[in-house]
Amino acid sequence: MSKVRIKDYIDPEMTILDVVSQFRSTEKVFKKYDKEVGACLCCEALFDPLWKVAEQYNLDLDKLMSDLKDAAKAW
Amino acid sequence: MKEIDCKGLACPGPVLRTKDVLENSRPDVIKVIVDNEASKQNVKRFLESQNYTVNIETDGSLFHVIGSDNAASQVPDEVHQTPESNEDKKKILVMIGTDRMGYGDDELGKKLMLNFLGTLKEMGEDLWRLVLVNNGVKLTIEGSDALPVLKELAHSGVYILVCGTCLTYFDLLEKKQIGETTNMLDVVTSLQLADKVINL
Repeated sequence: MSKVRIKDYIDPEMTILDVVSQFRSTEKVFKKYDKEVGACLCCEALFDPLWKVAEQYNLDLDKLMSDLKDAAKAW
Repeated sequence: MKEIDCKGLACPGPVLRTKDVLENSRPDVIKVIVDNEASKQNVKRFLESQNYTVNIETDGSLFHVIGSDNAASQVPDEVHQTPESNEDKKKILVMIGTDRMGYGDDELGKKLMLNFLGTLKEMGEDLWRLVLVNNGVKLTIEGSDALPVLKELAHSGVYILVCGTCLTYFDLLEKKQIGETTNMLDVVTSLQLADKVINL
């Protein structure tokens, strides 16, 4: 029987740290967005929820979520 | 003391490595060596969220972020333990979701809140953290009558957590004058670690 993880999903209330610690492969997504926003998201917003990151840096939250989920699938 | 060498690692690397160590073994004292300001701040914040007291030493271009487990430091010395000593030290968390106390008259409620905050110090060292959410965050912004007493509490070692979501909602993020802007993970962790929670 496969082991069921308690929190096997990504939602906008999760912080960047929550996401990258559960799905290490998502780090490259944030690095990609660093270039778009001109800041290091993992440096400056590591403890912020995704919705707030999107709001603060004018990112499309749906696109960010989609990119993160795609990267997490490869985890 | 557990030492983690994170030289050359950018965020979130140092925090992730620290998190891994804490999840596998929770050392009484942990030293994380980093070489950039962002990692220093983030490791510090992470350790504090895990109930470590953090000191930072500078060594040239390096930072030694040293965390001491508060839980470990509160374990009583068995040799000198008295029957009362187990009861001596509690971690009381006060959660405040309003800028006034009670219902009925708002002006009276605001005065009561100031009086309440001013009297909290009577808890002494047992008063561990204040968590301010919803309208409670308004106590921390510029112009608030509660600022002097909150600053006094912070100065005495009380850790004040201020809901970042709430500050953003009220468009007060830039006006906060005291406390650490925090998220729900920090709040839930604090509630989990507290011996007693007082909800206002």
